[in-house]
Amino acid sequence: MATDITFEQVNYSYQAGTPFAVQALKNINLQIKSGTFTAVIGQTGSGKSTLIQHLNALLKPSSGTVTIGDQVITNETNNKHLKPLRKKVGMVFQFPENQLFEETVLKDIAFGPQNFGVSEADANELAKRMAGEVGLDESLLSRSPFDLSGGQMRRVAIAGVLALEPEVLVLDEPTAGLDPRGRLEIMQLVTRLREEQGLTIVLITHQMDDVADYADHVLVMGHGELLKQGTPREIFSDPEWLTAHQLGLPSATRFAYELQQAGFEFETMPLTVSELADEIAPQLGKGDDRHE
Amino acid sequence: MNKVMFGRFIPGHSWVHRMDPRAKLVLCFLYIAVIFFANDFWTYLVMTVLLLASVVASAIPLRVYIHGLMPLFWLMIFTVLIQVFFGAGGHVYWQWGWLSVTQNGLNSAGVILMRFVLIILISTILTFTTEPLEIADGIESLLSPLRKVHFPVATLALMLSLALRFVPTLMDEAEKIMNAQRSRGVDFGEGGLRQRIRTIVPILIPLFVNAFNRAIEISTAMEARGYQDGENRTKYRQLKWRRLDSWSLVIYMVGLSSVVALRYFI
Amino acid sequence: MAIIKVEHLNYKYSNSDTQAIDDVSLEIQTGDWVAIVGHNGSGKSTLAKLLIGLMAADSGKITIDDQELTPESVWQIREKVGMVFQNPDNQFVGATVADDVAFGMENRSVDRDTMVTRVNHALEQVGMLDYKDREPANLSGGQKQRVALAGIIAIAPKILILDEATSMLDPRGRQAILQVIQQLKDDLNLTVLSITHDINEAANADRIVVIDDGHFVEESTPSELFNHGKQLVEMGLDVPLPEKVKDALQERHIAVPESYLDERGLVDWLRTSRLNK
Ligand SMILES: Nc1ncnc2c1ncn2[C@@H]1O[C@H](COP(=O)(O)OP(=O)(O)OP(=O)(O)O)[C@@H](O)[C@H]1O
Ligand SMILES: Nc1ncnc2c1ncn2[C@@H]1O[C@H](COP(=O)(O)OP(=O)(O)OP(=O)(O)O)[C@@H](O)[C@H]1O
Ligand SMILES: [Mg+2]
Ligand SMILES: [Mg+2]
Repeated sequence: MATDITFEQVNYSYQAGTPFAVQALKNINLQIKSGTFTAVIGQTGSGKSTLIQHLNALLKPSSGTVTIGDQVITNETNNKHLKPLRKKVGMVFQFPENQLFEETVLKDIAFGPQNFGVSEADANELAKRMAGEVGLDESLLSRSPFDLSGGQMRRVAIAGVLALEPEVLVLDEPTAGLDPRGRLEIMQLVTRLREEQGLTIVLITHQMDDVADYADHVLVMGHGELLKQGTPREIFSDPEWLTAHQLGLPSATRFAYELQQAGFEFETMPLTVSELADEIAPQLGKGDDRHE
Repeated sequence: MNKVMFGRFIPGHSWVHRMDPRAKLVLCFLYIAVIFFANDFWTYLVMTVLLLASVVASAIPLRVYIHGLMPLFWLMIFTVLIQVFFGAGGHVYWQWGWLSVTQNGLNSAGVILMRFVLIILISTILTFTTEPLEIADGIESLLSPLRKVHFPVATLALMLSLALRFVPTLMDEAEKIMNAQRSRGVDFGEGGLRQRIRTIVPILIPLFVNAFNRAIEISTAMEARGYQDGENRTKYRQLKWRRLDSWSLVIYMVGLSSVVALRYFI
Repeated sequence: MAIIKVEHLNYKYSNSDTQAIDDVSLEIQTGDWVAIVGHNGSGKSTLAKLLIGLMAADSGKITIDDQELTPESVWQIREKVGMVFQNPDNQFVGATVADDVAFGMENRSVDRDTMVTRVNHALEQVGMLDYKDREPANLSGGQKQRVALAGIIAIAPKILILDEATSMLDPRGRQAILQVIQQLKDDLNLTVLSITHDINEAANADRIVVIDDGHFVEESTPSELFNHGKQLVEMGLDVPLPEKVKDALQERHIAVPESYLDERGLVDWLRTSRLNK
């Protein structure tokens, strides 16, 4: 079942019709293919969060259409028909631990499916499975979610969204505020979900290294417009353009440019450390010769 | 939630925007008091002219004010209907059982509606043109004589201004939480009363927990910045009474005292 | 000379059964930039709060600028220490930028004329003078953190404590803040204590203190610490890029130097190695 996502001439204004109106999206056209990993990057305030809230119709376009699978969302779409969409597109907001409210971790994870008519027993089964999926220990299930560490709370929140068994998983800066180990674990979880369950992933991030390591499609937002889209390689091939739009390079790429200054040659600019090593290893002397 | 205009500040540089908040508070207060003296066409005319003049001086289109009245529309209709049907006396135009439409009923409905609209509009002028914090400063300054009797005016004012400062933050937060729960399949505003109450829990608990944690962080930050108690602090913000405030005061005094005069002496 | 001295400090939250700070002793020298690292929940924020008396230690002694921290001296000590917290929203207490910068001075009963000059000066230093009358709702996280710094400059403390002050910002905002702090440190001869998970921030420090589950683990220079390679992740830090590159080269059977190299150092080493081919 393909859930391709298409935006056609999408505009969105907050508080339209009042003196406070802000146009947050301007004429967005894009496509997200089912099963891909799409990264959304851009400065603060560029419209990233606004964009992704259209993916499950939390926001409806002021004009234009958003198509998700076989569902078409326009300004006129009735709120009553959105429920199937909410199940299809799971949304993990920034600091998702702020949405926890149940007495136990298990209940909180099982909350979502029950809103879609899953029985309590089935929802609990699902919740146990998803807790395992995100690496939460079984012993935590009966604890209050408010007694957990920040990283654990975040996992509970993600498990709560996964329990909806969505086809598309949208994450808004899911690693903000975590230490590097926590960040790595969340990113590995996301890639595993995609590989094992074929989820479509849409990720907002400021970490260019993550974009290089995991994404296969990148959307660059700026001042409410879609400035550029393409593969990470296409996006990161123009450092001047990125700097002009206040965006950085993956650290391996940045380092490669420094090496280029120092005389190294690159056929293609590397995006990851392992690509970097592949390119420079043949250009190096065998170090052990020098240590004779 | 996006559309609520009532009680919001609209930045600007108009005559009214530039007025001292104390002047605005006092005039608004006096105006509301004098509304209850108005009793006929001429007195209401003076009140309306004063109000419209203030609207013009605020440089905010009347349309925006009307928009601001909208959330209160049903309340107004309700009050008016009560007056129309239950006011008794005078010529009877229509009667059905104990329901009747009478001359007096219509009159008092008109009066109530007029007062309602005037009071809402004058307070809207205040809130549209005055930052909430300025209102807090104004209140603090007007209440400062109470310091003599050891009333904690400054502490209260700081509490009020902090509360105001965090209203937008908490509104944002509420909206974020609602969105998160919507994404987990909650339908707000659907179903019967019991269903509705059930959907409030997933909002209220996180909102309360967050507000509580936030309050702790804020008080830690304040203490780290040397906050001990509210009363022995100097103030950075100062209110300035300018000529424009005196003029406004004069204009209002002329208008308002003529209303009182029309009622009692003419 | 040690400006901060901590001796056998202990602290346990009343609702918890493990020590949040467990017999920690350390010294911080005047004028140093010291990074404090450790994984989530290791006790860094607790330590910072104890240092300025926001909570009272169960036992142990804290001396700041030759003055022992006691309930009597706590307000004097807070005159000497400015602190910036993680969440930009929860420390912006003023209605506008200028009001917020003035908040600390109001608490210290500074007279109004002095406040006006110092507010302008402090905002100038962090590049936010044009935003003087803005409300917090209209500022980005990075801008709010700059305002927080301005509020501290206005008090002119000797020590600046940053509790993950940049962690909620985007990379640009983060870099800008770090630059401002570096500038301030030089101008005002501050001692900086920065709690961080950011490898670049840690790399710029003079010394790094590692805390783990309430214990003091080690204190060293960045290059000594970065020799730990992959273990750094357990300390709440990322592995520095040069270490990652060295690892990847080693996997490709290229012998690399054992000791830590920073990026410049690695570029130099790679350049010579290439020429020696
Ligand atoms: N509820 C709202 N009401 C009015 N304006 C809003 C609202 N939410 C966002 N905006 C405005 O819309 C624009 C885009 O905001 P958005 O949150 O989508 O940006 P973003 O790219 O997600 O930024 P960040 O990286 O800071 O999360 C900004 O100018 C913002 O101020
Ligand atoms: N108010 C509190 N009540 C009970 N326990 C607490 C409280 N605050 C922190 N703790 C616990 O004390 C320990 C140390 O917490 P602290 O906040 O100092 O860690 P940290 O190193 O700052 O972590 P992070 O990197 O996540 O900010 C943790 O185990 C934490 O769960
Ligand atoms: Mg966002
Ligand atoms: Mg902390």
